[in-house]
Amino acid sequence: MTAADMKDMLGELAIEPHAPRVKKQKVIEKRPEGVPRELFALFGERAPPIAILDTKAKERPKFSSRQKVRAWERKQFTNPARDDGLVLRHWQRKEDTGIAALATPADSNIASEMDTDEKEKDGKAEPGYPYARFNVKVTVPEYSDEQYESHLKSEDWSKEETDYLVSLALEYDLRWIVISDRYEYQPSDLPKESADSMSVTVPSKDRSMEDMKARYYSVAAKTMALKQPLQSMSTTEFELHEKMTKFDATLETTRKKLAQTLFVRPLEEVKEEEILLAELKRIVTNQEKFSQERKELYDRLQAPHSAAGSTAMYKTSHDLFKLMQDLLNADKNKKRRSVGGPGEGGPSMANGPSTGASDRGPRSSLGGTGNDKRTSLGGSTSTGQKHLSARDEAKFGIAHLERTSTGTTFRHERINNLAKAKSNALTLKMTHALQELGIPARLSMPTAAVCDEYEKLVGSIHTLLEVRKVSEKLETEIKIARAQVEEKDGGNADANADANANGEQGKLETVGVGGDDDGDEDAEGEDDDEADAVPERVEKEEDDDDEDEDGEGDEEEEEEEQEQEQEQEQEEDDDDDDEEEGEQVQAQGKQQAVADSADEDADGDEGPEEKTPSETAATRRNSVRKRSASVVSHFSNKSSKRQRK
Amino acid sequence: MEVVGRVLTFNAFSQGLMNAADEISALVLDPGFSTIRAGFAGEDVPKSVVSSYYGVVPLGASKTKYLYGDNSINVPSPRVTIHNPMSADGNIENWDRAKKLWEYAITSRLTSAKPANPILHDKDDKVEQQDVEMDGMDEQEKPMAENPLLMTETGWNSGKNREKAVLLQRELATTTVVVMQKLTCHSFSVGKASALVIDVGASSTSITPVHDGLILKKGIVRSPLAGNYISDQLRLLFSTSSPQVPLNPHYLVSSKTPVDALAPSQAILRTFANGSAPDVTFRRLQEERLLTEFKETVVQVWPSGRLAGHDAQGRNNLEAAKNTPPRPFEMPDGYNQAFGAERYRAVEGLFDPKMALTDAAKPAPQAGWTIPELIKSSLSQVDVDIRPHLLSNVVVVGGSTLIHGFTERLDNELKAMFPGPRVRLSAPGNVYERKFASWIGGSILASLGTFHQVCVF
Repeated sequence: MTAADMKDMLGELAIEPHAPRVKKQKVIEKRPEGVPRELFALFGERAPPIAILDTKAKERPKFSSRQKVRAWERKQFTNPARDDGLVLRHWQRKEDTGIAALATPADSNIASEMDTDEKEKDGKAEPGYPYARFNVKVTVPEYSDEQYESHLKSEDWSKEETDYLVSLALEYDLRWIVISDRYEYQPSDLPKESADSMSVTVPSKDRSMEDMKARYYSVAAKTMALKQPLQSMSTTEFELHEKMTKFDATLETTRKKLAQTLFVRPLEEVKEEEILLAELKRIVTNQEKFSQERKELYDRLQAPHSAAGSTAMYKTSHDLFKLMQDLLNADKNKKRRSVGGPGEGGPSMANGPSTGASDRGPRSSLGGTGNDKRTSLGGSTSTGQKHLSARDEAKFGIAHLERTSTGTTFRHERINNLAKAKSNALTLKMTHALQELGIPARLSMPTAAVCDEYEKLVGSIHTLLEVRKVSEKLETEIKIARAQVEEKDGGNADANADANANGEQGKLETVGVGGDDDGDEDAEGEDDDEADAVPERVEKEEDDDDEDEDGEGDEEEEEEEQEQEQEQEQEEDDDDDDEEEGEQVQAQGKQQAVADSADEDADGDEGPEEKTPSETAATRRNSVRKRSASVVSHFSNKSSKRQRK
Repeated sequence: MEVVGRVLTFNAFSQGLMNAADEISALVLDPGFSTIRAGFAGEDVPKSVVSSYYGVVPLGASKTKYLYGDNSINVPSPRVTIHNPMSADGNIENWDRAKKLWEYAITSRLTSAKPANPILHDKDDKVEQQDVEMDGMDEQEKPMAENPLLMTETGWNSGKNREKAVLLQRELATTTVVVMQKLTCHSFSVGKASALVIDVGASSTSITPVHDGLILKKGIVRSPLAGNYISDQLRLLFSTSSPQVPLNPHYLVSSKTPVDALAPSQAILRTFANGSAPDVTFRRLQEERLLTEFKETVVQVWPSGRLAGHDAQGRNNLEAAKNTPPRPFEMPDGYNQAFGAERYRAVEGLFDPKMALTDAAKPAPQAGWTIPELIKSSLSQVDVDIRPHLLSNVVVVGGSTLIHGFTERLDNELKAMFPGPRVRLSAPGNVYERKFASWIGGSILASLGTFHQVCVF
């Protein structure tokens, strides 16, 4: 946590209670100077009608520190930047800091001896004129005659002219514009005119600025390379060298020509450019606006909740505090509105009966919606208010909600949530059931009514599944109990007869075991397709039983649905009903046999099958085996456990 | 002796050193064709502004009396002749008199007078000293010795003239002299190191590009179309108008009675005894003073577009000028007239040579002399890279630019001529700053700690 966070937190807490007090203090006006406290108190909170002016004569300024006047003196000084030792005078403070401290009495000897470069190096350290350090000169290439002869020769430039160029560069600090302006080189062989020549003479060769630059840079680069080989140059030096060697006079000339054409553009072109620029600006702003609008639209369409649900903006405590404040404010607003609601509705209610019946409908319906919303938001009751008939409500799509979630939600979301059960297994079952009913995962017309029906349907499926689970448990219990009874009666009873008598039971038993498995969320039974088929088929009997016994299916809807289910299943299974029943009988017999032998062989999967007494069962075993293998094993295990108990 | 020529590095400016001043009580002298400005460096206006004209009164066969200063030269002394040491292009012709004038400008207001040098001074000077009361000085005291002097010069001044100026200053017994270019000073007076200086003075108009405090000599262009030209135009206007406008200076009028507008004046003119009348040059100077007043109060520049042209709605500008309310002016002899469109005509020649008033003696000015053309030719001489920068820093100085509507017109002309680059005029609003711009620039420069130490005094 940073200090800022701490401050953030404390700041909010600390400022909050003090805020009103500060306001109060502001109300109290400051007592003006010269007004007695007692008199000011008489004013109360109101300011005096006439400005009270301090009529007291202005006091003499207090010179708190009666220090001695600082002495100044007119002193002579020299400027070390000058080489003529000129003595000038200026005022400076006596033996004090500032300019005076640095300035020394005239010492022309030192000044003249000093090189300006040395001055630059230790400008402050050595006593001197402070402004002397501003006398900065550029460094220009230096070369000897031999160096010039060997490296710097050029057919276009004589040595004298090069020297002249370099001297000008030094004099005008490489201001090329000035250099090219003042460039008046006179070849030495030509007879030079007297002192008047400066302004009259014309340069022998018309050198352009580019020519001069090119010559100077080439000379400078070469002397630089001579002084220090390229390899040992520092980066800045090397860059400078590169820049100078890469100077292209022709390129520069072309650039200047272009600049010239730009400079002398006619008015029409300038105006055209202006118009184009304005158009460009307009297009760009339009584009930005459009893209922003599109982005907003996408945001709304794609992720309505991502923005609202994100907590990224509430990272600091300050932001959270703000959020809380916002919510509180929103609450307050809501309350205020709910208070206002009935008041607003009042007159319309009063008018309601008196108005004609013809126009009453729509208007009251409108009023009704408003009231309903308000009341529901505020949580207050609306019992005393008049309501539309059920038919009208349906017509106008009025919904009475027990509680509203914050914000708007889509209906299909509610439906999606409904279809999801607590566990994956249950969800799967649910989807299976819905598939069987031919109801798509996403409703094609999710109107309020359809949604309600769908909700009911899902609810009944839930109930169905639960009831089935319970009944299966019971069946198992019954079966075990029966098995125990049979055991007591005698294990030698005819298996076939028994199977016939208990055909229905047997079916239920297998289902019961399967149901148990499902309840335990054991995936075994569901992975196997055939094992799934068994419970489904048995549902009808089970349901009948349920209705009789428990009476849970009191909702018409559920019954209807179940009937549908049954019908479907019956149609599907009619053909091989008999056969399967037979199979089941066989299986049942086998299982019973297993149960019988469970005493001897507690956990053997193969054991019971081998010991099956009935031959018919044995012949069918292969076909049934797949379907019931797991069931058998479980059953045997469980039954054996129970028996042990 | 080394004369000015070294480059000044104005690093104090580039480094933003605000308090770069170091007072050395330097004197700044800015001689012009019309007035000489002198004062201490660091002050905002020159303390001493004296006329550049001097009077010569012959006092006999060999004796001559010289008159300096406004108080003495405007007195109609008998047989007085008025001279100007400067040539029309702003360079000094009569060095002796120029020296005296400068000395007068400095010593009459700023310091006490320089002691008379018995070797250098001739009898004329003795007479002159009586006039300006320079007697009674302590021989040993050299009050100006402590003050370095900064003097401005025109950008087209020759090296010879410059050296002479320095020599002259030595004679004035100031310790040191620096000759600064006037136009550089102009640009510094408005706080710009680079600018295109348009100086419309009395005798000449000059356009000078200044780059980093250094004038670009090739870009200097001049023309004689300036304040004196406007005066000549006015004279022509008065003589050709009907009824003719009499041009009688104040000193000629001994009494007058008020008359209606355009009525002939009823004034009794002063008569001088034979042989004691002032010279015609004196009258001309006095007329000039009258015309200056007229220029200040009546003359106007047509602000938008050419006077001969049309405005955006296709109306004739001359017609529009006629519809503007006229401005009345009363001559010293009582003649008065309300000047309508004609008051625009006198200055129009500075921008449009076809509109200039002409007669046999005064032909129309050359087309290249007008201010827009001068600017164009000046800019064509400088490097293309700095042209836009110069155009956005056009500094307008000089007394003649104070004519009503001048900067507005110039702005319009420049914008019409250079539609592409940004044109920005900076003309000091203050009359003194406009008139004494070069002096103020010199004052700023001479008070800088970097400047006065680095450049050669």
